[in-house]
Amino acid sequence: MEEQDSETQSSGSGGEEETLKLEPEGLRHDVEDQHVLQFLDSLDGYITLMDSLSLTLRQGWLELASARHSMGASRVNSALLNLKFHSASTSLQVTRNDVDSEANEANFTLCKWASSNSGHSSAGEKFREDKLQTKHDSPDLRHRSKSQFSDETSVQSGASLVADDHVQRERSKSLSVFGTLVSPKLRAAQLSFETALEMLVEIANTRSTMLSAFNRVKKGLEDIKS
Amino acid sequence: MDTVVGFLLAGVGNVDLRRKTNYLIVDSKTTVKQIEDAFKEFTSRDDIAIVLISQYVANMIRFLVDSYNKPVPAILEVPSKDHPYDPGRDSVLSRVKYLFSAESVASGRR
Repeated sequence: MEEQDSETQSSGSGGEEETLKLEPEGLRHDVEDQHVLQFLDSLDGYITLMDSLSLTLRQGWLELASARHSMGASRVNSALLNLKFHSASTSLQVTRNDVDSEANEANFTLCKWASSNSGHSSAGEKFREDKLQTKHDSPDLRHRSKSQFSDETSVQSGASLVADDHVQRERSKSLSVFGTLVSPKLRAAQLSFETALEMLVEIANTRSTMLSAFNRVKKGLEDIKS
Repeated sequence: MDTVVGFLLAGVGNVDLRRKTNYLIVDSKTTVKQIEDAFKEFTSRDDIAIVLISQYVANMIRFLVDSYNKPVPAILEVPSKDHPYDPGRDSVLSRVKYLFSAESVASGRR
């Protein structure tokens, strides 16, 4: 190592410039390798998640078929779908990463079972409604906590109970399209498709990462060619 | 149909004041034109972030799906009950497999 150091020093100013020129290229290769690794990781994640999604969907279809068998084909039917005005109870929040214009990466967050009472509320408002119901310092919850509970953990468990009740109500509302009394298999199918939905949001985020990493790698290859 | 019914149970169904839905059930009577129109409509709406399409249905409008390249709404091809997922037909994977082609590797090495 010492001999190599003396050689670089003895080459004089020209050698120092050469050493300095090598460093940015080395750094560029490291960055390109990082993009390639990110691309390959996200590609692997995407394919793995698609496999898991297939399994979850298969379970959901089986449960739906069992529900149809027990309740009758006329009761589990697309003809019963609600065509009255209503908003989606489950929505998405999208944030865009515009720092790097070539990356153009979007991030999706699932907001499950927000209130569907107000037809014109946006996804953001639904998310805020969800947050308000779980926040422990909101007035209604504070009032409830004073009368019944005394410590912070009790307030939080109270808030989560309220959120759970809300979620159960929304689930029942969704199931009520197929009648008041439904088969447990239909409820199980609902949970399977909820899980599938969570996976799909993960797949969407992985897809976004993969495509932005792909664009960076492609640009790197084009720079090398030029 | 079961895929749409399942996801509607999960709470993603939306019907607006004009009774327009955010989903389309494809059956034997649905034409390719109807599927194309629905795809164009869903991909141009501001209130849709992800479009789920069965890969079997996507194959009917493959040119349209493959030529779509906006980040939002994201197009996700999902398996259907009668047609399993084929990674070779996925539009996203088709787009990125260019990196693994012999031509791109050879040109990078020059």
